[in-house]
Amino acid sequence: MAVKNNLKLIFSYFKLNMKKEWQYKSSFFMQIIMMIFNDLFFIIQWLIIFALVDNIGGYGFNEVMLLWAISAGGYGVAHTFFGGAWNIKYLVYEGKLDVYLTQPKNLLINVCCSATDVSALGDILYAFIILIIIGAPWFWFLILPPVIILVGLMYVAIYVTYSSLCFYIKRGDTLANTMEGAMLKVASYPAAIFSDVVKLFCLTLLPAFFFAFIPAQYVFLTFNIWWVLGLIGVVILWIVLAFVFFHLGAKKYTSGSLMGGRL
Amino acid sequence: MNKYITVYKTSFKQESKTIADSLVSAVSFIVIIFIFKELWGYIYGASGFGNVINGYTWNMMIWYMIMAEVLMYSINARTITKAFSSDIKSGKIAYQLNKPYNYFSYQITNLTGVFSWKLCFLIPAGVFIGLILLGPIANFSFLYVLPIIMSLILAIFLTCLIYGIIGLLSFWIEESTPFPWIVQKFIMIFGLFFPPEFFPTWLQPAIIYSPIYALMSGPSKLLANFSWDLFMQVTLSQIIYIAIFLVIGLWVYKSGRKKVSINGG
Repeated sequence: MAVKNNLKLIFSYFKLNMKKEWQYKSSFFMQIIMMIFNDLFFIIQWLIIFALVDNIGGYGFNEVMLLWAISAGGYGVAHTFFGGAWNIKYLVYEGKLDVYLTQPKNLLINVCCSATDVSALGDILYAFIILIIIGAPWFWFLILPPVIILVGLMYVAIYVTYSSLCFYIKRGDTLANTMEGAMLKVASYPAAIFSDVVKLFCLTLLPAFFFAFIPAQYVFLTFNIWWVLGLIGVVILWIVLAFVFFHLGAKKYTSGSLMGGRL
Repeated sequence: MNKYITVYKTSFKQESKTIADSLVSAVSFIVIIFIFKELWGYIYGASGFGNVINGYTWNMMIWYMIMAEVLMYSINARTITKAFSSDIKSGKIAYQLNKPYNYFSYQITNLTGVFSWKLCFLIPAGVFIGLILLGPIANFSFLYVLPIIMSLILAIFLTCLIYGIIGLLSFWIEESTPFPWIVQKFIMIFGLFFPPEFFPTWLQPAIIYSPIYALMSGPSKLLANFSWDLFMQVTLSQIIYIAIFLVIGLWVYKSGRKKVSINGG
């Protein structure tokens, strides 16, 4: 029942946020289209690299593009449905969390769903465009949505977990931003280029490989049920961590009874 | 001219209070250098070209990337366009019109001051990580330090001009934010990720004579392979493009200013 209610909340917020953005139709479409173009530029980077080498650790152009499709899709899902997670620092430091605390909904879900980045829809579309470009088999188009939802949830959870530092210290978001930046960068490159120490780090403290490489390799390229279960387990673990850290932090939250409204 | 130099100095000083932010940006910068070092290490090992690809050794390539990333991380395109677009959209620009300076020139020098401060962190961070990962640059002399810093500051100024002009488009269009994404990607592909020599021969002149060379490839090549001829060539292209974009920016600002309606109050 609780899951159903929270899903309903997520989709109600999504509809409301989209309606709000739809007010400025030209801006709405321009942001999405420009984001797709923006992402397409990276194809040139890899075309040039693959003119120099045939493959990187067994990954050719198509495989690297699959990494980009998954990471762009995951990023798109996170920023489209849970864009409010990137406002945690403002809500905590400016005492604006009060508005959410008084509402009869789960605090973290309520905060995360309260905002959207419309350009992130372009990232989701780009993920599918990439599959078309590389001539992916039809079933990849069916597998991609659940995969990008999974990795998108993990990405938001990681950001929220590290952002919960905002409840304790000033500029608590800096660690979250650094981890997020590092994860996005590492995720879009083939794992073979990294040393074993870096690989260990990217599978644990900063699970960048679970964001793109593991799903690409073990869901799409060489299906392996154990890695898929491992991926689901890691996503659940980070979601639990996000809830625990955020709610522990929220207990520390204080404000000066700031009056505010949400439109 | 003096008032703009004062604006530059003031914003540079003001920005020096944000040491924590600059340090964090340096951490992220080190991560990306590390990724590129690993990637190019793999490519140089697997390409079959030997130690030199398109005239660049692996060592030169990474020093090029370090300098290019210094520029990329110093400048925040979004901050520049937002500085203009938020003033224009909110109507705050009305308060700037009666000030004894040109608003466009003021914002550009102000932002150049802000971004120049970041060089104070990123250059040492870049040199530090470069020395650890690659060792010293062959044939480098301390005489080159000043020209390289000068070239970086001119590159920052030129980049601020270009993104500033995009920000000024808010006089006419609702949302100018996505345009810098595209410009930034052009700069990344044709300047940051690869030196001009990595592109087909027919495309190289177009890159070398483009603003991307003046604001990214040119200054980045100086650290990897300094020569006074190259320095003169880069500086000349920077001065020419600064003059061109300054004129365009002032003209766009002058045209856009006519669209401001002030109700008083």
